[in-house]
Amino acid sequence: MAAGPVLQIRGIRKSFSGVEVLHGVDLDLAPASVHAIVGENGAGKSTLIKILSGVHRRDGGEIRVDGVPVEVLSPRLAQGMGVVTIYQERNLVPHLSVGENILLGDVPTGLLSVVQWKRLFGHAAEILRNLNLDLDPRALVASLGAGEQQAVEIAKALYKKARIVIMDEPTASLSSAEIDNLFRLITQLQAERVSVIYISHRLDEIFQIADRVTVLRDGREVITRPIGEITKEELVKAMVGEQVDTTRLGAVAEGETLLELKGLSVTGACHDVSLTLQRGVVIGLAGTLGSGRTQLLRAVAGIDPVERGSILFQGHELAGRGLREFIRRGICFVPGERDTRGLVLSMSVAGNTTLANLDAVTHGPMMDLPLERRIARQYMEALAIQARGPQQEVQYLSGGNRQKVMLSKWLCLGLEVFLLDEPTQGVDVGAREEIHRIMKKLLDEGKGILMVSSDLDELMNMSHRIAVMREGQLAAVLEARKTNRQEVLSYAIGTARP
Amino acid sequence: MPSAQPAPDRAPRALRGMFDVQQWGIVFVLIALVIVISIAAPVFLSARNIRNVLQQVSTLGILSMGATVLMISGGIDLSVGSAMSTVGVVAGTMLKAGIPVEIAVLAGLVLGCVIGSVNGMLAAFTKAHPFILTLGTMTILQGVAIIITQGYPINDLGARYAVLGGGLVGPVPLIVILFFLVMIVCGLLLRFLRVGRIAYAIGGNEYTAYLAGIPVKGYKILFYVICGFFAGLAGLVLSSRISSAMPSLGAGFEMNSIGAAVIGGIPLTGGRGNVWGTLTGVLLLGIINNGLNLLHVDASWQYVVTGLVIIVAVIIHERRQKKR
Repeated sequence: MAAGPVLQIRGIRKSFSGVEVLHGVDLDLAPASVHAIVGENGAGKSTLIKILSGVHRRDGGEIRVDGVPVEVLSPRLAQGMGVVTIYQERNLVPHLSVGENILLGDVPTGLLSVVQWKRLFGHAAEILRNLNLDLDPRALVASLGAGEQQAVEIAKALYKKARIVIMDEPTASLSSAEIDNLFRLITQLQAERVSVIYISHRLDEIFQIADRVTVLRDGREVITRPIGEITKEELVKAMVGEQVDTTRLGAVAEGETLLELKGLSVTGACHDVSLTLQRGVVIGLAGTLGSGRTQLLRAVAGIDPVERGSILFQGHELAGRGLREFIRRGICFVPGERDTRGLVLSMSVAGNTTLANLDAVTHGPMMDLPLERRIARQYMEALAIQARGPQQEVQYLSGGNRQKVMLSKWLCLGLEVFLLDEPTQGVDVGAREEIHRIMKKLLDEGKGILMVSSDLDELMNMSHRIAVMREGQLAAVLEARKTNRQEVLSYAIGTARP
Repeated sequence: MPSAQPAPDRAPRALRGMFDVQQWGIVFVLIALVIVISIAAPVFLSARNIRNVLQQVSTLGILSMGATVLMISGGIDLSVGSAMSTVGVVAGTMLKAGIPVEIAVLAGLVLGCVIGSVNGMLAAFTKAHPFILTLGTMTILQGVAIIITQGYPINDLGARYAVLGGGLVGPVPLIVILFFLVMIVCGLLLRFLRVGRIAYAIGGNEYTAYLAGIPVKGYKILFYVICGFFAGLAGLVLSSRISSAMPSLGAGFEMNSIGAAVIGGIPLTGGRGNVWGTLTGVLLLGIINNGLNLLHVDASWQYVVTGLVIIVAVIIHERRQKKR
């Protein structure tokens, strides 16, 4: 049998609302091979697999399965051609048995559509046996651990005669024993002539399991190599690229300490984190998804409860206090999910601006509406918010303007510490620069900022120090002026250790 | 062009805002209905009939204003009808026991607030949907009302009590004045008070309100108390008007109050709407019933028509929302 690629991808392009995120990606998947795809957050990995699994439609380019061009893909068609995707969030029905999940949609029935349980479980048991899996086909999926559930997904893929299995961060929630088991299953898949596309942040794993590796950066394929012909350092370098760092924040005469975290732990999210934030300083929190950086930010905001450790704000212990106390002392949290968490979309610009600061616009129980509009107009001017007026509902504003309305809500309170979660996600370049300008102004006023960003450029340029989180722990705190993207990424994915 | 058009936005706007009827579509339906009915049955526009209609809608109106505040904050209360019955029979029992009218009325209002606070605490401290929670309290209160009366109506509540629902101030029924007072209070509360602003914020995005440091749970309870208070008032007014209190006093009122609010443009998710919208909803329901009565349409058909109006109104609002 000729060993032509089972999957050929040529020049795949994809845009979302006018912004191209994939600029022509090529990929060849050899039969019975494990092909790893790596890249930073936002490099285009997720978009690529969603195109392959039929969730997104490509704007251009060619996909061939066994040399046959594929025009339009839907999730159903993709599965019909043997492309099965196993996402991070499991795709099983938790209240059905293992056997029913494996045969889902194809349950054997007899007279009057009565389910033939014996045949169903017998068939499932056979598949599990072939995979050397010690699982009871009658067990409920909900009662299984993360690794076992994943094994059920793989069994399900095999039952569907999958020829290409795409795994998105398969080890994110697995213990090391479960990871060993997963790798054994992958080897078995290869023995069954199934090819695997393996997406992971963990480079160690890739060197352990993959045959080839492709690096994506900014929606382009940078290199593809057999795994034996590349080193970890070369891989990291390819991921971050040779970037010239431009406008970094200037040095700062470090002032009074605003916020001090000591041995802070949050159940299931982060462990023993210590950090100190001074006036006029931005600390950027780096890390991959699931590294616990957002949960850390939420705990410092008083939203999630602290398991252990202390949060000292200007000498006051805040751990264990409620969110309102954090705000009263001077700490605010600006969430990343702007529309679902940060704004009341059905309210006006003015209403959103003063929402956290109603005391300033009320006399007793009465609202001072003219004063409220004056304040809103003041912030519209200061932040160049483009709206018809303070009475316009924020849902009719553009993303960047909404973001600025959300910021003005906290600016008008005059607090000391700003916790920003992905402050420029989903805004255009112009709005992004304005938000950075606002941040610099806050620093000039002596505020402190703790920022989570998946955008490494933003972290490098808009932080004084970069705290790198990895698996819930602080892997390193780096001086932004003295470090580079490569070093940050190495700590984030664990190739460098403190 | 950031500062291109400074919107004309001075003091009058606050007033205009208060009269800003968002639901012109429903207003047109209302006007068309008035024209059609008055042609078919000229007696419709007689002073006596107009007074009659207003008197009939006042109980629902009082109840619906409480529902307006609650539903704008994203809550919902199915128990208001049973609460009306319970308050009515409790007040009636007290009157029969010779307790003065003032105290019986006060007790009824307090009971309404207590019922509201129970609903509010359930809604605030559990994650269950208030629709189901208040379905539970609705059933409980229905049982309580039957237990108190053993199923029999309490009649002849006395002339002094009858003033509340039947009294006149000049030519205007007291109950209608009460309704408009309730509407003005709720309208001012929603538009000019801090608590009203918070109702819109919690209904619009509860999590954002929480992040802004608003004590969401406490306010949620307050909104249920407000709704319960007006349910109590509605129960008193109705039992006074018919001079009788029975366990079925408020039956069906919960659905009509929610219907009026929804016709008036309050989405079940909250965050929008005002008292003017609810007023149009209340009037629409009242005029349909009165008109069909005048045209001698069988009472059973009134249900069918009312249901259709609610469905059409919701579809209209949903489309408008999408267009904007």
